[in-house]
This record gives sequence, C-alpha cells and structure tokens, in this order.
Amino acid sequence: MNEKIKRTVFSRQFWGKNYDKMKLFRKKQFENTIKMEGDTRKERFVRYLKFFFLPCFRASEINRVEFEIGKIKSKRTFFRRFLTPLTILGVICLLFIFWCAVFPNWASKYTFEEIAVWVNIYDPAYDTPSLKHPLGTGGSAWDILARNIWSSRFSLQISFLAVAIAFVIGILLGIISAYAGGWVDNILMRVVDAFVVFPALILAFLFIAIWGNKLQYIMIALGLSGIPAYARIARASALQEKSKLYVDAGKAAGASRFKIMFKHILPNAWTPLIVRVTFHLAVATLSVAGLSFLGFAVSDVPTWGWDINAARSHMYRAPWAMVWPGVWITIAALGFQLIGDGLRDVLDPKLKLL
Amino acid sequence: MASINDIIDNIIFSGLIVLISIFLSRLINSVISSNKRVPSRILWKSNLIAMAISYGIWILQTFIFGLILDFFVPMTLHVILVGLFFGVNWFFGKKIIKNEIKRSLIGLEERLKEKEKLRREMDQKLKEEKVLLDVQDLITYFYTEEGIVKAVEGVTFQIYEDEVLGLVGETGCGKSVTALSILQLIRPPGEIVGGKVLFQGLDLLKKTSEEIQKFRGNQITMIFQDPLNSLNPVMKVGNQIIEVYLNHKMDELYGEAGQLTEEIDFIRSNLDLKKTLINQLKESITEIKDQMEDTNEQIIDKKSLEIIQQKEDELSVLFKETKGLKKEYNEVKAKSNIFSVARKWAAEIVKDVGIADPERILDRYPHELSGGMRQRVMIAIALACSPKLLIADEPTTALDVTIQSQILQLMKQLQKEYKTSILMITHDLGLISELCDRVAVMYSGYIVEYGSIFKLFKTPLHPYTNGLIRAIPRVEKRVDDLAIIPGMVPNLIYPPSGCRFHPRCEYCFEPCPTNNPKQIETEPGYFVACHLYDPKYKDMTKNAIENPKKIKQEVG
Repeated sequence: MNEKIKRTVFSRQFWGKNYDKMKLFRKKQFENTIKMEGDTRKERFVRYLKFFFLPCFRASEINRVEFEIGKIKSKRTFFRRFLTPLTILGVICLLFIFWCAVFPNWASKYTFEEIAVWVNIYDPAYDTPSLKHPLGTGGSAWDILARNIWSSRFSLQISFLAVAIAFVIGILLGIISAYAGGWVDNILMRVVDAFVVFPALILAFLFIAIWGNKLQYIMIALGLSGIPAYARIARASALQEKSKLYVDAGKAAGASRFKIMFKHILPNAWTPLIVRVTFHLAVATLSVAGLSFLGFAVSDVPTWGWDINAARSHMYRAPWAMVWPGVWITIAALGFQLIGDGLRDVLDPKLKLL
Repeated sequence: MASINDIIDNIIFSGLIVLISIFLSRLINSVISSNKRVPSRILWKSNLIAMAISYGIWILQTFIFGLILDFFVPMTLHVILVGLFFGVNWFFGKKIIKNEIKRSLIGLEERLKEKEKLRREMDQKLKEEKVLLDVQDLITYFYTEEGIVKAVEGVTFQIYEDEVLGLVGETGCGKSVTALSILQLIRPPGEIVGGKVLFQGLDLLKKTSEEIQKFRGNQITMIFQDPLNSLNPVMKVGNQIIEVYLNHKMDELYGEAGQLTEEIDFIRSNLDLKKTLINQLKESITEIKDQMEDTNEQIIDKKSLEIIQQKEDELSVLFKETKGLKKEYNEVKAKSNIFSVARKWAAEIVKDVGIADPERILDRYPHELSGGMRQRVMIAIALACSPKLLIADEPTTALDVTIQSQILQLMKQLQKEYKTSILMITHDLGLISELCDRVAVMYSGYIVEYGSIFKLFKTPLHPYTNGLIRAIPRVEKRVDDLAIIPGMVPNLIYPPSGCRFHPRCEYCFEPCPTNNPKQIETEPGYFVACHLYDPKYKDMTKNAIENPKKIKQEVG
C-alpha cells in the first residue's frame, strides 16, 4: 500500500470517533493471527523475545499457519482462474435456466394445466406481445414466457438423466476394459464401437417405434448414444494411470482388483470426464430439442423443440412464438458450454498455454 | 390394472437410475470424513434394502390400486431411503453401524483365536526350520516382440528369520524382477516360467491371484524406488494407510470397535440413572413447595427452605456430571466407528516411523510432503500389518545423502522393533555393508556369489564381485583412472553362452564359454558360481590365474 494512503486510512481524521475502536480491532486481529493453540501469555512473551533477539528464529507453529494460508490461497487461485467473464456469463445463464426448471410455479403466473392443454389445434391463437403477455401468446392462447419456463424443466430432466446414464455406464465399461486388457478389452470396446454407429436420433426412432412415445425411451436413446465418448475417454486416461507406480504399490499393499480400479485409478482419471460432462449436457439439450422438433415428444409435455415446430407454419404471422423457445435453447446450451470451457481451463491449465 | 409391459419398462428404466444413485452414494461415502464414513458392506446392504422396499411398494400398489405411477416413484423412494440412511447415520447415534458391529462380533473371537493358532503354528515352524522365504530356481521371462528377454534364470536363495539379505548387481541384472516375481506383480509381457517361491513352506506361485492378495501387504510387503510416484496423488496419506488395515485387519478393527460399544452402553446406562435421579429430586422439590403454599404463605418454614436449597445444590452437581458424561459419550461414539479406529492405528504407526505430528500429516496429500517424509509414509504403509518379510527395492536412490542415512537408520531400528526380515535390493555396496547380514550378488539373471557379508567383502571369490568392490571410488586415495569392469552388460535376449560373465572375465579359460557354472559351496553357507573354484577343473585354473587377459573397453 502506498505510504500516503496508509497514513490517511489509519489516521484519526479518517476514522473520527471510531478511531480507538479501529485500533483495538486491529490489535485484536494481529493477536489472533499469532495466537496459537494452548498458548499462555508467558510463552507468547518468550516467543516475542526469541523473535527479536535470536537471528532467523521462527516458531514451528508459524510455519503451520503459513502452510494453511498457502492451501487456502491455492483454493482461491482455483476460483480466480475459474471466474473469467465468460464463465461468469455461463453461470448466470445456467442459474436462470435452473431457476426456471426448479421453481416454474414461482417463475411464471400460470399453472401447468393452463399451458399444456390444447384447446383447439386447428384454430391457434397467436397474439402480439403485450403487458399481460410480455412475450406474446402462441398455440392455444398460452403465455409463451410461461410455456418456455415450464418446458425448460422437462428439457433439463431429459438431458440430465441421459447424461447420467451415459456417464455411469461409460465409465464402468471404460475402466474395466482398460484394467482387464486382452480379450475383455477387445470385446467391450467393439461393443462400444457398435454404439457409435447408431446416431441418437435413429436409436430414438427405434425405441419409440417398438415401445411407444414415452419420455424415458428418449432418455435411454440419448444416454446409450453418449456412452462411447465416456468409455473411450475413461479407457484412455485409465490406461495412462494403470502404468504408474502407485498401482503396483496398491497391489503390493493387498488391494483387490475393484479397489484398484475404482479407488486408485478412477479418481486420477476424473478431470477429462468431468469436462466432458458439461459439454455433453450442452449437446444433450440440443439433441432433446432436435428430437422434439421432429415430433418425438409426448404431446402433454411442453418442450422447446416442439414449440418451435408448432410455430413453424405461422412463422411470418407470429415470429415471436418461434424465436423465444430458440432463445431459451441457446441460453441453456451456451451456459453449459461456457462452464465447460472454464472448467477445462482450470483443471487442465497446460491446454490453455498451447 | 397396469399392464405387465408397463411394469417391466419401468423396472428396467428405474433400475438404471438406481444404479446411478448407488454410484453417487458410494462417491459421497468416499468423500466424507472418516468419523462419519460407513463401511462398504453396510452401504451395499442399505442400498439393497432401499431398492427392495421401493420396488415392493411400487409393485404392490400397481397390483392393488392399478395406478400406473411413473418410474420416478421407485427412483425417488430409493433416493429418499438411502438419504434417510445417511441422515440416521449422521444424527441418531449410528445405530445401524452399531448393530453391524455387534453382528460381526458374534463369531469374531473364534475367528481371531483361529488366526492366532495359525500364526503360532507358523512361528513354531519358523523356529524349527528357520527359513522364512525359500526361492528355488526362479525363472522369469519377458516375451517381447524382439525376442524372449531372459531376465531371471534360476535364482535360488533363502531368507532366514529376522535377518537382512542384500541383493546387489548392476542395473538390468534382474534384481527388481526377482522381487516383483516373489509377489507376482510382473506385468503382462513378463511371465514366471518356473521355480518355486516357498514362504513358510507354502508355494506362492501355485496360489491364485485372490489367495495371494492375503499375503501382499499382510505378510510380505514392498517398498518401491520412487516415493513420489508410489503414493496415490489424489488420496490423503492417512486414507492410504487406513486402506491397508481395511484390506487385511477387518476382524481386529471390528473387535476394537466392539469393545468401545460396550463402553458406550455403560455410559448410556449411567446417564439414564442420573436422569432418573434428577427427575426424582425435581418432583420432591415441587412437592415441598406445594405443601408450603398449602399451609400458609405468611409463616416461613425455615427447615423446608433449607431442604429445598440442599436439594437444589445436589441438582446442580448432577447437571454438571451429566454434562461431562454426555461429552464423554459423544467422544466415545465418534471413536467407535471402524474407520476412526483404523485412523488411530495409522497415527500410531506414523509416529513409529518418526514423523512428529501424525494427526496433521494424515490429512495431507503426498505432494505436500517432502521426499524423506514420503518414503517414511511408504515404510509406514509397508509395516502397518507388521509383516514377516519386507522387500525394499532401492528405497534410498531417489533421496539425497542425509535423508538416505536417516531412512537407513530408521529401517535398522524398525527391523529390530518389528522383527521383520528384509530383502534389500540396491546397487550400493556401502549401503549393504551398513545394513545387511548376508549378500547375494547377481549378474545377468544369475546369483553369482552368495554368503555372509564379512567374507564377501574381505575375500571376494568371483571375478565379478572382485571387480565391483574394486570399482568403489575411495575418498582417501587420489587416482587418475577409476577402476571399472571392462566390457558391456550382456544382451538379455541373446545372452552369451556358458558363463554369462566370460566375455568380460580376466580369468576366462576353456570351460567358461561352453559350460554353465553351478553353485559350489566353498564353505558352509557360502556359495560361488564360477569354474575357478570347481574341483573338476583344478588343473586348468593355474594357467588362467597366472596370465590374466586384457579386455578392451567397448563404448556403446
């Protein structure tokens, strides 16, 4: 701090009546930083004497305190690296979407029944934005704002569960195949390759054609098509970790196969997987929207893609009905993507320098 | 009625989600502090019970009421039940864990007695035979694409009870491979082709991988070269030590936790007694007060006032005592978890290893410790179950000299304390002279000379050991050219015929390039594998010794 500023900040003029209080507070703060556990006044006095008269004296406790502070600092640097403007934007986007998804009753004036029901499909009531309906109305004269808010709940539900299915099964497959090696690895990875061949859309067609138009089949289709990416990433990083010495040391300490796989190797292979999750969430929300745009959605359940599809034929008459769901989709996808970018920069700082 | 198709659909899908919740609950369990962690066996049980209850309720309602509720119902029920389990564990006295401990105590004493019996029998056997580890003709090959690497070919040695055996040799002569193949830690291109590894009379090579897990870390352990890489970087040091106990000493952990549960019951009964006493006192005080009000307000009865004061004093004393008891109760309860028992043991062993502040070190990650500390932690992990045999694979090469000496002193001291035999693998003869009782010198997959340390250093018989000892630079002499063993380390894929050392040997004579030397016992307990000392070729050796060859140093 500059000397002038210091003088003004700690002067009597600056603090006025509270000068004494400030002094006392600062003194207390100082004492608290040096005060240690089980410390009597006498010991502290001896330490002060040693500090002033012995050259290079340092209490071991001070080292400990410094270590703790360093730890906290490293955590702080983690957050600072994370909080770039772009990731803050992503966090804000996601907070908005999550607020819509978790508390739709509070976020909108309308209940689910008022929005989701078609009164007359052949006589849609599109209305321009007004004070009562800030984003206009669409479909069966429902409020578009409320409709978007409610549909964000279902879109997020589908994409989250799809990602969770892909995450768990993919990691299991990847790590088991990496650790086992040999023919087990070969067979498992060929199965995973077979999943790559099926695009998510076609799998969803298949399931819906067989079992009917239900939400869970869309989730399963998206989840299955997401497996190979996780399996391959998990396998690659587990193969890298498997060759390291601590795996041998763990074996020499008597750990079983599964303990080594899931307690030693998996935590070391986390980072690329976590980054992949955020990107996959963005992709999954987009593909959910795409599926429902094509009509693979339950008619009772509002989703963004379905709304866009419904408003498509009235595009010139009522563009707002088509644009606003699209805006919601971009907010969600952008939020996940930006947070994924931020996470990758924090967890893998080497990549940023490249 | 719900159609069966719907039911099956929902079961399959919610099964997937239950899988996710099991995964998450295990993840949470691994993250929370050791006081509140749940043993994995109980976690599995709770997950299974929650699954059974949720599915049961859901299927029953489909058949009774015919409601086709969503798949979310069993899923949410399952999640709520598992959450409840965690909550109960967290807040209400860990009853589940306590019951589990009690249940596991049922056959525990017999099991522990059986273990002790086995151990005693083994100890008696050891006292009779005195051979702890007997390696006979161990052969390990690596099947690479370029050819078969014959890393270890017919190594035999014995380790006796409570002694330190050194294994010396150049790099790439198969020291580490013998150590790894004792524990069967050889990686896939490598394979143990033949031989026997008898540990207290049991052949380890014939055991399956699950049977040998019980030996690793429990009876035979290993310290690796590089302390930085041999600790898991993302696990706290304490958890890595605790894991060894969880692998091998589950019964003993439950035993100690069970003793604590008895203590808890005792304190609990004390607390209840005191509560009843307090209630009685309170009642009597109110009775006296009521009587005073009934009789007359104006007349002050001094006696009853005194009685009231006495009783109130007693009450305050009782309150203080209950407070102390409650504190004790909470403390003992926190200790009764098997994880906190294991943590206590870990702190003890870390203190034994010479780390001053064990509680603080246990919560650190390996990268926060210095190299010497890390090696100490590795030694602590190795000695956690007080093993019979410790294999130390160059434990001091990655450390600087002062810390080397500290670690060596520690190993000496711990060897006496824990009575473990050590197989010490180094290329440093000075270290061997300081620590070991006997030495085995290895060259290119064979043991070349093997016997007591004094004899080997005084009068080395084999030309290779002779060269090794000559090659140690001495501080007191100033020499321009350092002594070396001429020639190159042989290629292990195409090794030289006969004695593998013959291309580099000064005293090479007729049988050397063709015949493989056998181990010859020159003195009781002292072996050499060299044709020079073979009584067969006694006549030919004179010429070889008198006219040593000069060998050119190849630079490759």
